[in-house]
Amino acid sequence: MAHPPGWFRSALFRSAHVRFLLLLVAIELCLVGAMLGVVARQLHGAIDARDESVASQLRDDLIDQASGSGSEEFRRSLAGRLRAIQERGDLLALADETGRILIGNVRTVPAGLRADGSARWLLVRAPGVGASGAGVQRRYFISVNSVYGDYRLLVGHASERSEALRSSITEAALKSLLVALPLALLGAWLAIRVIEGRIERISATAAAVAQGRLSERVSLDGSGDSFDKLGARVNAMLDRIGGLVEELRILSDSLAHDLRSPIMRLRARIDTALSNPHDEADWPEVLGAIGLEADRLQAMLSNALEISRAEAGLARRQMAEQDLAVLIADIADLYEPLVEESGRTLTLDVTAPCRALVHREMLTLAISNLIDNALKYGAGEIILSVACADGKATICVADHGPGIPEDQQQIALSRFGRLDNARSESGAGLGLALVEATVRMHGGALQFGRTAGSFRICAVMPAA
Amino acid sequence: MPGKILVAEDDGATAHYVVSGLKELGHNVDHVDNGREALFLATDGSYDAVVLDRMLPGMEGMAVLQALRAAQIDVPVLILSALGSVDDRVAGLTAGSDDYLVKPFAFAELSARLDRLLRRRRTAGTEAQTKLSCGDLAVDLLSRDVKRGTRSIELQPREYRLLEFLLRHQGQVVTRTMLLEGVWDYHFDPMTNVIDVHISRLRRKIDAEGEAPVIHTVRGAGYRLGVAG
Repeated sequence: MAHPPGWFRSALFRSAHVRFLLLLVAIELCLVGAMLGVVARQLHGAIDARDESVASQLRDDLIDQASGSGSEEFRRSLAGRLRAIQERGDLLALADETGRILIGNVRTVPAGLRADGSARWLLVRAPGVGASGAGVQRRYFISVNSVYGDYRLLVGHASERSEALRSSITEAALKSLLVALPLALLGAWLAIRVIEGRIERISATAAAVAQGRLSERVSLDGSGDSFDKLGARVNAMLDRIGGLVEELRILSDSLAHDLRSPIMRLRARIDTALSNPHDEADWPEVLGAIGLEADRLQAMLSNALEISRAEAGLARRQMAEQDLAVLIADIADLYEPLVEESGRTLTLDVTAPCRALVHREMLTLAISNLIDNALKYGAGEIILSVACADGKATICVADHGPGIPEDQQQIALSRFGRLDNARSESGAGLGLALVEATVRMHGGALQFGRTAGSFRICAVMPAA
Repeated sequence: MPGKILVAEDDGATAHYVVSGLKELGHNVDHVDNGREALFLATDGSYDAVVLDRMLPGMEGMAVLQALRAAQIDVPVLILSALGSVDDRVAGLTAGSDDYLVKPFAFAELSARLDRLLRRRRTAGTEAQTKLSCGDLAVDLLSRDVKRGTRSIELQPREYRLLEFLLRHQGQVVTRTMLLEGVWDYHFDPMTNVIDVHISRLRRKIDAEGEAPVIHTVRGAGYRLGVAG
């Protein structure tokens, strides 16, 4: 493909305004040209029709005369009319059976014209006697008829399409272009103004958001045109950004809030140790406790980090299709001794393979959080189950504990959310926010099932 | 196992913590605080291991790693990073590092992991083993028979995998996260003592009453398998 010429790539031509303007001007010019073309055609058609009728009349007139008189008489009468015909610029000729012109202002009867009375337009060299413009080619409406047996009568009428008419049409064309050009420019300018006005609304909103007024939105007119759609898209994008910013704000607020108590405990232990400098024997214990608090702080931070990553969907690129039955069996393998050590049992309820697109590590972390919760707050047997049905994969962790009351399930899902009866336990919250964020990252949702004497939390997500 | 180690870390306090700790263990340590110098020094190939921070001025840690690997320098690299999500760890390991440690870390964790890298380098190229042993504990890798002296020990598959990992790293300190990575291939921090329970079950079977223990707890770090306490 050839490269476009330089001007095509120049900054001025790249401007959408200039291109739009040129396009509009070109379209209007084409329109004017087409209109004039149609007018000229109509005009010529009308003139030709008149010429044709004049020619036909002259021919009919002459044939009438020929049939009412002898050939010699007709010849004399033609001679008398020839001058007038010649002056009108018309053609007249009577030829004998050999093609010799007996009388007329034409040297020969053009070959290819049949003597059947049909008429047609022909370009013929004008006869040189008396008429202006002798010798130039002109359009004639010519017919040839047979008279007196093999004699032929040629009658031609000159077209009245004139140079004057042609130039006046050209002049009209130029004049209308002169009017059309400013009109085209005006139209283009108006169209650009309308488009600019619509774009300006979106642009002003973007500028306002950039300046920090995050709640600004593009006003929509409901027309559903592409500007309206663009506005709606921009609004949806701003809503998403706003949501993420808000979540980030809540995260940092709650993080700051929840980090205070472990830091407070750290300080208290350090201060106590410092104020009793002689109890050196206690120091290993004090330092160990400080280390534990540091670990807890770290756990909270990494939990918050994982949640944010999951919610932003950043880990999606590491997702791969896997059998959930195997994934769950691996988790059970890791956790079974821990569960048994606390006098409970871990049961695996997996009947068939169930494949899904998962992030193995994140999903394992989420399910191990659920097992941790069941160990800490639940009771009795812990049942891990996987089932595939209707394109959905369901992983459940169930136990025979009291579970989370319905009115507290939302609190449990919040970051670092800890229910009152769980406050005494150490830990970084229930971790349910992480579980929910992970399941959402997998395109699924978390469901609670609570019946008398049993409680289950299920992750329902799309199966592969 | 002392070695020549390059530490690339720009944070003064962390660098001091790491460098002084490693010197105390008898390592020969060089320290740089930017990525370009790290690449320059590591390129001469005389180091046994490189501890590389991810966020270095001059040149990013992962870029240094890529440049080293592109130049066919296969010195073991341990990445230190404040980017600690599970996702980051997996990404760090797939980018060609030999190990990945998230800040904040315990020094014991760092030294245990470095030790593993140094040993792996020394023993690289040795033939595939069919038997592992430590004192009177012997494991046949083909038949999966485990024996303590003449006593035959029945192990569950996961206990066997755990013992095999400990035997392959005998004499070294292995941390809980190293076990979780090496035996179960998980790269997150377990919030519970899930690993300790596995070890104590294994210990009950391996170290019977009256036998000299081979599985030792290293306080504040992890475990070590060896004949002497």
